[in-house]
Amino acid sequence: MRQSIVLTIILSSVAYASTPKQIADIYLSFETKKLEFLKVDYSKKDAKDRIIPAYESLEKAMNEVKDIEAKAKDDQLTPEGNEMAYVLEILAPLKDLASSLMSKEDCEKARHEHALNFPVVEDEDSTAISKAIDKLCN
Amino acid sequence: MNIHFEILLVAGFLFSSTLANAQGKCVSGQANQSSMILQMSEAKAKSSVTEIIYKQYQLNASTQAKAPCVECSSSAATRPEDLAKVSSSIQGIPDAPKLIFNSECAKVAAEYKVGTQEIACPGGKKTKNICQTEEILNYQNAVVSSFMSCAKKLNMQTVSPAVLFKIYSLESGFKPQFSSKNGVGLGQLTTIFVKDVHQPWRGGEYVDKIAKSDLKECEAARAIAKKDMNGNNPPLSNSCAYIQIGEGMERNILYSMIGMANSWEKDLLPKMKNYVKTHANHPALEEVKSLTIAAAYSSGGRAAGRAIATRLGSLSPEGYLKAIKRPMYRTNGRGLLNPYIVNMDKRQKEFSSKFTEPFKTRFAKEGSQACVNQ
Repeated sequence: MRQSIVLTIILSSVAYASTPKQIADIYLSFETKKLEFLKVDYSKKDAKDRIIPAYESLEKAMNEVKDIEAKAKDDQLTPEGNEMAYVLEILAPLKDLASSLMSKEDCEKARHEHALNFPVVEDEDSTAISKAIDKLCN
Repeated sequence: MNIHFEILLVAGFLFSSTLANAQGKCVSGQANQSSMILQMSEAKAKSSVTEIIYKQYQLNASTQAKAPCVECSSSAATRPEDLAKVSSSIQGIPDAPKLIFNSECAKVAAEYKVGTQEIACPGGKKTKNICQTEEILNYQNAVVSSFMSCAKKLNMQTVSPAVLFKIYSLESGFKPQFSSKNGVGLGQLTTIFVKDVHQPWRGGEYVDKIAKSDLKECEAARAIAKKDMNGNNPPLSNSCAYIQIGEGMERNILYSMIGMANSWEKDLLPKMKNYVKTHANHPALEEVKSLTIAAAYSSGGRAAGRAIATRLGSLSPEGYLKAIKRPMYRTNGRGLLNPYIVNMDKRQKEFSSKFTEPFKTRFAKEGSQACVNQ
């Protein structure tokens, strides 16, 4: 077990090291934006105006990475691109909620889809998204 | 008092040993842990679901085949109608549908040792090494076969039989009594998964569809769906309702299929609509769908499945399959986006040494596809 963890970390680092600098830079900026996205104390009033542009900006970063990957000769998927695609998915229920009327049904849907994204293990991101959904729904 | 207790203990042991002998040796577990053997006997006597499955797949046929052939010794056996009867008794029952999985494969998967906690039903007592006989494995195989054929008739998109074999091998090693902190039974169902099956705007539609179907293939599935519809299903905290043979194990299998169909239609298809349209006639498309559904079935959940679909959506089906089977790393030691797919294949590789020739060579060449009865 320990060996496989070490191997995963080594392989992950190798993959990380070979990532083009351009993608690494976009990813760093994406990470910062994601943290800001999750730190903000949204309210029902401003949710739509703040969450949707922030989400779109993350999407834009993902598309930039996709373009760079597509142009690369080896056609390799980078860990940064994989991570960004995953983050966009876990944030999607919150974005969908912000673009809805935030009715009781919309809230139930957002909570349900969020739970489906984390069927087993909750992490920091999951907790932050949960709190943001609760804030908009309570 | 003590003597009486010992007599009861010996009698109980003898009774379960007799039942174990009647159902065959333990493929996994120990003979003195007879909880599932007793469940199987009770289900055969009392469960309508089990009765339907036994009839549908003629599971008593092997016993019947061993019964003396009356026509063979009859002097009238030269009549054409009796010759047909003789032929039928030699060849077995001609109309029985095939079981979905090769029984040798199910046996090897069940023999695989995983140190997970087991639940003895009824009662839900935590234990270990519950005996699983070949009869139980065959019955389980028939339940999966029946529900898959129902799902197919209702146009529900589940996974291919080969991928389903990989999923059950990885989740529980075909042991319906398995229970962990994160999952219950054969399909290792989670609380949110079961809730999802009954959400009116998600899996609830499938539960209704099965409950209202009058298809012969859905007879067994319908019995459970009818009982559980409108969210009347037992809570997952009642583990035996998702484990015990007769209804629980069957419910577990049915729910895993409904969950997969639901995940495809509601979560993955919206992401892959254009992809499916573009590659509609491609022979690899079904495997692409199956593996993406499997990725969403994992602990990474809906987000992992959808992220994979986004990442690989620009590749051809061959490229998609190649990429989804390779580790898809995330950043900063967060592991993989597709650990489930990688682990499914790893488990299958571990099986390969357990088979005997000539199947061993076939399995090495075809993988889990060799475990599917065509």
